[in-house]
Amino acid sequence: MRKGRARHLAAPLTAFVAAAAVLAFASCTNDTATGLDDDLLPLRPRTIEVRLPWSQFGVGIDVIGGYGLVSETPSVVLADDYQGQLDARALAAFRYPPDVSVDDTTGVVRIDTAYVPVGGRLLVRIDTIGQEDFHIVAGLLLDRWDRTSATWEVAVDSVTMSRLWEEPGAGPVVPVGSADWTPEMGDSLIVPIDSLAVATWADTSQASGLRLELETPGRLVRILELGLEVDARPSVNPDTLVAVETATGNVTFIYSPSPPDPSGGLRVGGVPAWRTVMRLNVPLVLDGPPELCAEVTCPFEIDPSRVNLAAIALTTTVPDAGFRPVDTLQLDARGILAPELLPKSPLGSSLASGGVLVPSEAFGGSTREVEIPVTSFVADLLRGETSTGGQPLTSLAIVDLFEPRSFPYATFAGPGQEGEPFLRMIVTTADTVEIR
Amino acid sequence: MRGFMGLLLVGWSWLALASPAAAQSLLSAGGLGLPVEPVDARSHSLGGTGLGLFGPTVSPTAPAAAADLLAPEVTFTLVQSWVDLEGPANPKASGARFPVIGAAYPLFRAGFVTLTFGGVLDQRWQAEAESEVALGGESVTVTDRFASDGGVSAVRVGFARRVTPQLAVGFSAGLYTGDVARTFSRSFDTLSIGTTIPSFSSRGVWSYEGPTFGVGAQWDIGEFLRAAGTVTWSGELDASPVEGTEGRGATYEIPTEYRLGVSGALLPSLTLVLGATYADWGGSVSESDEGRSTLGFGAGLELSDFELLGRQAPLRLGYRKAELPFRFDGTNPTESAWTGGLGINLAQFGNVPLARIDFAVETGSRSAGSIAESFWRATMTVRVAGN
Repeated sequence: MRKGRARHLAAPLTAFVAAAAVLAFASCTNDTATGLDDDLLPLRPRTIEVRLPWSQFGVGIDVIGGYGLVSETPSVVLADDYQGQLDARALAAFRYPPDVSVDDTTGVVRIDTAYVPVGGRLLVRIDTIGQEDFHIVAGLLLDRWDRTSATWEVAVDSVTMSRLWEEPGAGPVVPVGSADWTPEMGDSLIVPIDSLAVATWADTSQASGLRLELETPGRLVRILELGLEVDARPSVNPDTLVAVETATGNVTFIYSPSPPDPSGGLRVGGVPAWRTVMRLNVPLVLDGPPELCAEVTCPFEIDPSRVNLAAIALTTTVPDAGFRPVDTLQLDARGILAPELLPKSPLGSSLASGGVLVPSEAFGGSTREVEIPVTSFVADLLRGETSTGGQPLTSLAIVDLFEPRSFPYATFAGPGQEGEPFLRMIVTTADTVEIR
Repeated sequence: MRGFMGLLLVGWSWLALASPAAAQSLLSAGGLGLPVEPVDARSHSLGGTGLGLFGPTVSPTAPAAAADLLAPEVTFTLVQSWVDLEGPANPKASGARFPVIGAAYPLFRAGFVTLTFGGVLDQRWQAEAESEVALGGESVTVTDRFASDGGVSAVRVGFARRVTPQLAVGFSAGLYTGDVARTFSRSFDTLSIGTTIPSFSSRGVWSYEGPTFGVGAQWDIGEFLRAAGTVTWSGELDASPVEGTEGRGATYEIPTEYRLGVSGALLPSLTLVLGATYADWGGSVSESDEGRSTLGFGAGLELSDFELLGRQAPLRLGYRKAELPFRFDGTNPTESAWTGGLGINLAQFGNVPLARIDFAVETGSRSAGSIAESFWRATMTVRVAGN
């Protein structure tokens, strides 16, 4: 009897006290005792920098263009003798809605498929950063054209058809409207369009679209959005006008001249985009230069697990007129998974996660060194296998992170030129971690 | 039986869930680390040796102490420390140390089988140092960090029985276990050079294994004096590198340890406890002279008729001083502490506690070379007995 009572009393009290105590202990923090004396560090670490010239690690290099389409770029560009060289014009086609909902003469909402476009306006939103006054002109295109293949000279270039513009630069056109922009207008510009053009675009058997042209020499304008708003007269209520938004399905731009050949230099970006493809063979053992051998015992074997950083260092040059970057670029390096399939080889994942930001000023005259990290790529090469045991890649491509972005591109000195590429490695050596 | 197994499961679960402990002392960096006293809160509060105390208990260091148990028992202990450091070190450290856990179960009527787990050597510490390296013509600040995380524990199976009304004996056999991860890293402050340089890191992990045996005896001289002694012999402790570790393995000599303890009743409710330990760590760490022989002693008083909330709550006070086995910064470290504590019998049958919780608080200091540490340590033990 007494034993049973004792056990009965013990259970709840024991549980409560024990739980409270455990909780109190568990809530305590853990901060490991930390000495700040380097005598306690049992290893002798040393960090050195290794710079390999192109001849010691580069096997081959190619600059390959043609990736992506102009029509895939996120913005449309107009240029008039920009940087004394470049002209660019926008092309657009519009799809009118097959019907509109309007009130008839009795006030009842009706679906009207026989509405008549009688006028309209282009709604243009531009990138205003650094922009000054300009004048643009809209023209009615007389030829049919293909959004994905149109260039300054060619209207259509497909498997079944190839046709040049009657005049280079998507001409001729019938002028249908124009407008001036000043900074006070903000980021929007409205270009009134005459009724003839609006009616023509409504006729799908004739429709060929719009050409937008900049007529202010030396300027470049980036268009972020382009739309057409049509004034329509409903057949169910001819005494009124309604505004109808059209769909802007086909938009692209054409430019001239085309970029010249790289001529020994390296090129990244542009549209269609350029890539610089490198084949690497990083030496496992170094026997120089003297500055390195002053720091470590030569010959010096590079342990891939001790490479903190490996980066391709490129020196900027001034791109061709008309193609100098006006915005910050983001460059990346990616392994080439099947070099034998170039230029169509698939690429591996990003080696410089997030890309390397390169400001446009780097291409403005004075040269600048740009480092693109390729640490895991070089470590795999040195190790002779990937971290998962696969065959390491030997080729990589320097690419624009967002490809194709716009027609300006980055240029760098190539092998044999002043400022040729080099491989920068930061290597930390230390004794093996041992137990006592 | 089912209740006992439940308690056992709870105890071992607690052990498994125990968060990784942080070291309580930078002196863990010396030799094989800082010895851990795997004793319960009552022993801590009475000066620490945990031997020869009146009343039965389950203890890794006292194999004969379970002989007088009347029922199956589970006991678990947790220790939390707060350390203030002086010298070239971060000024604060704290952490929960290895729990100690034990269980005892009667083997027919021959005695009690015991199973214990407890820390032996704590190897948790880290060191940091800043320096400058030249990269690309720029001076870059680097931070080197070396962290040791882990330690040596022991799991033991024992047996205790009373052979005469005055004499109880016990023995234990077990294995050293545990592991240690040692990691060196160098991080770069690259804000000044505009290029992110990933950290360098090198790591090795070793697992420990080795045998240990203990024998002990407990002699009651009348009703007012109890003496006990334990000898713990250990085989070689092997540290084997786990897969992926470049470093070599190692073998250490763990010395034979001698413990003595005496309790004497000064008054019917006042007991004096004395204890001492000795071990020669001189040959433990090969190719160095870091180890030495160590002597430690402790003393305490227990006032057993104190009551709290109507329950028996023994009050305890003690002091201990011990030499630590491994040289640090070229000097021989020592540790001393004042101890105190309280036990609460939550349930008892006659004079036998069925459920008890003990708390101990210690405050003391350690010093060696340029490092001086003062610490507070709290220990809690929960004991539950019954079928």
